[in-house]
Amino acid sequence: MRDRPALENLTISTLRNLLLIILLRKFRCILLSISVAGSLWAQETGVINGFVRDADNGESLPFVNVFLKDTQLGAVTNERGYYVIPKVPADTFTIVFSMLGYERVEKSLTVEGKKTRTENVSLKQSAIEMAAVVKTAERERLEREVKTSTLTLQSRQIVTMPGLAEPDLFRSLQMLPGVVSRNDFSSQLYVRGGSPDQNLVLLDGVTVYNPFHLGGVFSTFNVDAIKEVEFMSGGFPAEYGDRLSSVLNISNREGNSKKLDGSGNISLLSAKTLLEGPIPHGSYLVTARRTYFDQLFKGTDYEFPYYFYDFQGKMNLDLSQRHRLTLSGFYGDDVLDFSFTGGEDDDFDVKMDWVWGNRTTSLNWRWIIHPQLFSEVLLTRSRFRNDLNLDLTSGSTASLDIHNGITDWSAKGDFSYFGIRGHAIKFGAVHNWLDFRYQIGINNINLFNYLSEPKITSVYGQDQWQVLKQLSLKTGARLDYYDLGQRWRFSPRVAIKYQLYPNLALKGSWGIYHQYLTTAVSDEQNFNFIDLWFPLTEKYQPQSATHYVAGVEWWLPYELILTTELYYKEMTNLLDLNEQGDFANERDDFFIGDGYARGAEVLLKRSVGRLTGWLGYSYSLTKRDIHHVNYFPKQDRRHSLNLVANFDLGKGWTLGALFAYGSGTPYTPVPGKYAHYEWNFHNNELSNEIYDRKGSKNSARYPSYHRMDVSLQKHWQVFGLRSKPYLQIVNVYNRKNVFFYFWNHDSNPSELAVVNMFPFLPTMGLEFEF
Amino acid sequence: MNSKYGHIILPVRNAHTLSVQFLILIVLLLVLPLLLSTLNCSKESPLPTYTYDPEVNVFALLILNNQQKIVRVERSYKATDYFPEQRGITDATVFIHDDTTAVQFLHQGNGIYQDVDGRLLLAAGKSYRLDVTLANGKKITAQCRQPGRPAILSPVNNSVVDAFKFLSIEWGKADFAYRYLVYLNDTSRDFTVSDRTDSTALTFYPFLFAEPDVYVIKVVAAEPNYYDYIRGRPEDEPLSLVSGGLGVFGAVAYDEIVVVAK
Repeated sequence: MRDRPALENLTISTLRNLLLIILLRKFRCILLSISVAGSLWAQETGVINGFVRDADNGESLPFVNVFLKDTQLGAVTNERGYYVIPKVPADTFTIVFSMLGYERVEKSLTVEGKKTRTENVSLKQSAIEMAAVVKTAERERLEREVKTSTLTLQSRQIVTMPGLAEPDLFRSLQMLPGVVSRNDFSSQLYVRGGSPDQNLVLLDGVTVYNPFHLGGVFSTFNVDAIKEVEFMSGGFPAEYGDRLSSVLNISNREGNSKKLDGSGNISLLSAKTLLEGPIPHGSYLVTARRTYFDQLFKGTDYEFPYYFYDFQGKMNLDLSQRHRLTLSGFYGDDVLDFSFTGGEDDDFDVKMDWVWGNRTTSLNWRWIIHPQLFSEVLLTRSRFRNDLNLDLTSGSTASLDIHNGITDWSAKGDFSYFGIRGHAIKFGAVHNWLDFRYQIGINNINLFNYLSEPKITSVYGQDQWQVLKQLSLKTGARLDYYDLGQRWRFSPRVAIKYQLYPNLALKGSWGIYHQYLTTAVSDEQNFNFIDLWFPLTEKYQPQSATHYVAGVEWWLPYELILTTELYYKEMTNLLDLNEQGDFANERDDFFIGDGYARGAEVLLKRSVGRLTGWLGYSYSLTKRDIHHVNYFPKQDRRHSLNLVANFDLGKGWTLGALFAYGSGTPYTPVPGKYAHYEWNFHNNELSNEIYDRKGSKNSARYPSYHRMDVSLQKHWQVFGLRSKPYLQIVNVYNRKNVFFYFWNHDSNPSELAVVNMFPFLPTMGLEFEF
Repeated sequence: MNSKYGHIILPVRNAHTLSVQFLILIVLLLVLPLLLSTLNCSKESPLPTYTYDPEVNVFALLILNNQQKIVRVERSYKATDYFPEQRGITDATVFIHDDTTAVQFLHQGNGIYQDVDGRLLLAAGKSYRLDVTLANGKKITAQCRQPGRPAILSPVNNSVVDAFKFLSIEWGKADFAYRYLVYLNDTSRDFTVSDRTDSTALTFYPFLFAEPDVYVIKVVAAEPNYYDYIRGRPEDEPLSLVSGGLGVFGAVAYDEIVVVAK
């Protein structure tokens, strides 16, 4: 490309001439494309399709570049490793499969007119000298897809990050720009000013409603089973709905279809194991994890009453070249089980059994209806339940039972059509049957019973259109029907990408989003143990948001990618729990209001090489106007800086570091105190208690937050097993980050006390593979 | 090295590049924590300070049953200040008006004001207005309407009920009552529980009657001010039901019975 003249040397007439030349060239290109297409159309053509897999373990490989040598014809494998090259002239070609980290494969094949040639390929992993034209899957994905605000993480990036006792997916995501963590004790995600219930969390296509253990300290996902995580923090396409802020799409691995493989891990938190292997015409993968402190202290004076476990399984079965069934499931529970004796004379006993957790099951039928029509039908069941039984015995036993939960049955069909060159068309439909139950009873007598069974039906269509070589446009729309209140909602989505230079692209997106479920959470809460989900009843309008995103994506030398984005998100009909609501007045269960979030994000990322990781900065401002109060919600963090680095030291050593900085988040100050009086009708006297006199909502800011974590791992061969002991240190320099302040009014004058977040915390563990 | 994570290692193209990368990491891991430690980053952040102007806190309640009127006027305090027992406002001028009379309540000590002569007559359905004027001229006002007395229909006074069982209580609707507060007191173990309802019936749970004992049940008819004041959560946000300050001016009337659980 010849250099463009410096702008200051151009006259208006020169500019006009230049513009004319550019337009004429474009017009000639278009004419040439039409004539070539016309000549191709006149010939008989065939189709080439197939799957690309990893030769070592049989896992499908997405975003592998597949092209016919010395032609302009090619494709890229989709998330399932499937590719299709339509309208190939009848001839003999050399087909090339290429992706960084794998050996390039070239094969000769002959295409016959009106026939489909299937070419399945397995690529061998290899440390190859990187040629300039070989791209990473990530770059291929970013160049091909028209998506803003999207980041993909591989499992290896998550496992090497320093974590709390063991790698955690959500804690890794909290290090990305645009994602705020309110405190160290919660792995919940506040994305671009939104709340956690505005994030759609999918595990192999199944919605997970409370993806946390221990009240949000850890996420429920075992990173060893994860293949890839796609995180869309805004502007997500029409195939996703019913959430306002983000989509977290987690894909588990399919299992090693070549040989039996396994691993185990023991950390200070839990013990876990993974087993995968082939079955006839398929593969399987199972993982299990459990904490063990309750077992360690069993029978001692210091019994530990809590544990959690989770179990994931996946099985793939290839019925034929065109049909594949995948059955997968996730089962996980938290269990808190304790008893004690109390009272002045030890005259009452308390026993509590509390179990909460997720159950998801899905059956996926992948059917290649036609080489150019790829379909997936997914049947799912996702259930979150919370069961509490509390027995109080003093003479007799009063037994309190609380059961609540959400069950989501869904049937979904997604279709991808590749028949029109330059277009990637996707369309589908989903129907959700939801079941919300809240029951309270005492001594088997039902005192409170809430049941709601709403349904949501959605259809969507989208087309990614390669308008010009440099210009791609993705348009789509989604139509929802929510039966509570008979609400129809239309959600258009548009994304655009312009390749200004080979290494520089401009992106933008706009879309409308709706949400029909909410959680009973108030902004005042510092800590939220469990999310209680509710459907919006007829008296509430669906919550909605409009996203505006504009950004730049720039591929730099040394496999660096720099992305910057500006965003603005308007939210309406937001609900905030009214904690002072009167149970007798249904109208005041929630406050309704609006909000917005705006910001700028910069991310510099490197995914290959000995030094990998990212440096991210975000500026954000988010506000709410609810119940006539204008305030900054608790997730409003003005500045965030996050650095994640992993360095392969060689000889099996890996060093990881993580540094997070955030400016202070809002809180409601307590500048005063007062006596709250009540008339004691029994004693006929006035009683009082000292309470906080709060200031304006969220008008003060905590001090800034920063923390550094490090980790060190070493790969070893011990007794024929590949093992990896690791040491992690959270908060290396013991920064006392403030969690919250509280006044202790028991002393007079009252004393202001502070609760800090994680101190210096070393943990260690051992992972092994067999 | 290949592992299930697809670990990718590229051959070193440039020793200089590797040493630059390593140097960056060493700076991060060694120098940065040292620097941050020396900048006192491991010390406790200083506690915040706030400004606060004390407010007037009024508790005023009219109880129909025995023509009882409780009025207390005091102030709130800055959170860091000593909270004295003697915190009443002693020089306020307090009046309660009905539609015909304005009765001044006189200060009796520590912010308590009384209708010394008993001139204010409480009657169901009557509206009352509270006016508090401080020495600096600041005014606090509020209004309420006196509800009538409810009448407990079931169980009967001094009746015997089964212990370890649910106990249902029913009462007749009180005139001008907004909602009801129900109190249950276990006389020997001296605990009191309460509940709220907008109906004229309530059921108490069996574990409250787990011990054979004497229980006192009070059904209190409340007007909106006092009801909202009681159901609010003062730890979250004090409900200000008076104009110009914190607190409440409300009115109640009650009925009570005694039951013996056996």
